[in-house]
Amino acid sequence: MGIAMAGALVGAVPRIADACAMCGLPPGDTAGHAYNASVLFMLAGPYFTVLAIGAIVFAMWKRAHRRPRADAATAASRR
Amino acid sequence: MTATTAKIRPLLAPRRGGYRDSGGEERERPFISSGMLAVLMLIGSEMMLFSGLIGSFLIFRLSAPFWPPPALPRLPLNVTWANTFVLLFSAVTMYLAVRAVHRSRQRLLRRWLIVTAVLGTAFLAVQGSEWVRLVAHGLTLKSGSYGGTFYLLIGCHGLHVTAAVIWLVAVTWVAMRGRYNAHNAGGVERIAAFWFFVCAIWPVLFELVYRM
Repeated sequence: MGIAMAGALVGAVPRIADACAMCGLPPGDTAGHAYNASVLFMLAGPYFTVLAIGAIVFAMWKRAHRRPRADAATAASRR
Repeated sequence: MTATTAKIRPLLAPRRGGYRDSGGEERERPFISSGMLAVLMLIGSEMMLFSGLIGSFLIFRLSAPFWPPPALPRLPLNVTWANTFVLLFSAVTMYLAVRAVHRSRQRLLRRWLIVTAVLGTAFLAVQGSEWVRLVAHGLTLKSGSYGGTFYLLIGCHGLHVTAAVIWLVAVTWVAMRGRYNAHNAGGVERIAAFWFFVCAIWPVLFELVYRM
């Protein structure tokens, strides 16, 4: 019953369901869209940072395990 | 042992070629040194700093009806294009320096480190001269959000390049004494990582601040 009432209320006045200040921006609202773009950019920041540093660490790990085998192959060819 | 396990096990095995600790005990060398880990953490925090600065720039830029504001000068695009190539070329010379140290080629290492330092200094000199011109034309830190975000973002990057050049000069000084080789390349690798970072962030700033 409560859910039905809440659904009816939101259906009648959709604006009350807006979760944050940036939801339901009127068309042509440049400031709101600017905040949206900025928030999305900053949300992507940590993920990009972790991916970039993870890729570098992975490359170093890969190289560290490749080098001894390459050294061993060189030593074997010298023998 | 399955075929997959047989394939994976050598990859997970500790790296050969250890070292003796102060107690004389044989230890395995980690695949990433503490110094490099510290530089990567520094780069991570710097990326977050620039992410925040760019985020604030986007708010001002996208909400402004006119950019640049009518009374203020436009940013010098042609000179900065050339300067961008100078900085990106310095990343190539830094890569060549890292390759030289991995092959223990001392003369090549010194040459590429010096070329990189000269290119970095040239980048800073051109930036500085452009700033002097912009200030003379009335674009200062107090020129609204346009001037404020420009000097904050580009100035922050300039400070990073300055720090990287100072660090690079110190590494070049050590390289002049022949201290770096294929087995002791950590110092060059660390400055290279930071240098690649300041070079990689510049095209993003250039596109946003100068061209957007």
